[in-house]
Amino acid sequence: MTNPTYNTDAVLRVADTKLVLGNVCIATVFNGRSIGDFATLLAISGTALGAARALYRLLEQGGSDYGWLEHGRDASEIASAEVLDSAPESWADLMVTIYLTEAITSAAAADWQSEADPLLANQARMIARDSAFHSAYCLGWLKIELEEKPDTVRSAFVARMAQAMRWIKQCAPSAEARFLADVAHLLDLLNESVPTVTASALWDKRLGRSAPVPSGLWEIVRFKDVELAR
Amino acid sequence: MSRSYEEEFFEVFARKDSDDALQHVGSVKAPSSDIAITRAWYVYDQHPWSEMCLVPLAAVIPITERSKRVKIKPI
Repeated sequence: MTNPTYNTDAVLRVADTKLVLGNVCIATVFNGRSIGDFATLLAISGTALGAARALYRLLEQGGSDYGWLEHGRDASEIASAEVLDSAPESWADLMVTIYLTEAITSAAAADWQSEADPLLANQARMIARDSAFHSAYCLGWLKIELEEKPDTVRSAFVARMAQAMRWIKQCAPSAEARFLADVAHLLDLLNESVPTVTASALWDKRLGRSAPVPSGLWEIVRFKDVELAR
Repeated sequence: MSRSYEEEFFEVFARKDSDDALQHVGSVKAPSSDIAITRAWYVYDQHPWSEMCLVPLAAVIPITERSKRVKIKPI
């Protein structure tokens, strides 16, 4: 076991957010417009779950129990960002959700690229690289959706941007400028301004959330190996 | 029923390292270059390419058989 030089709560928040993002992409894959979209959503899921696994392994080196991290926790112990909590209501909403989730996690992880721990530094570089592709894809679709359904795109953005902004301000305040630079394209596209947000009195600083993961989402995310084995 | 979007072909070129020549590896169809970028990166993942780029098929100008649509075949 090594003594981590980095903030383990911050690593857990990014890891759990990647875990939930991976599950959301799998759950929504067949909403894609073509087989090309199915493949892309599965790729986004694969890289997200891969990042979650790698970060859990890192936390294991720092003393956490890998089994507990991967499948031993309940909904109240998951530190995923609330921007993923509500199910996407449209293709545009899914694209906004993925885009903002990628933006907050890559912004928060960016500082780790200069970390002394080489595993964390490498993982941060991979998160940044993958995020750039996923964001380009989402932005591409949002430009198209904006032509047909501007109100749908805008309402999805307003709701989720507030959640993303809250997460950045509470969990990774030093990454706010980087996050805003990453979402600048989308803000310009929608001609929207950065929302003013406050955290609720129930905000859990360690988990980066104000309540447990909603039951519907937890049903998708939780491990079901025992049930499936029957 | 979901709307079907107009898509165009993008030809994908990639190289494994700086000693390699940029070669045609295939094509993707997408409604825009933003989407084509990610589709190409994840579809043509047989190597950890050091460089990959796209060209819209519509941008390719035929010199021979100028009355026909260009067909680019991978190596």
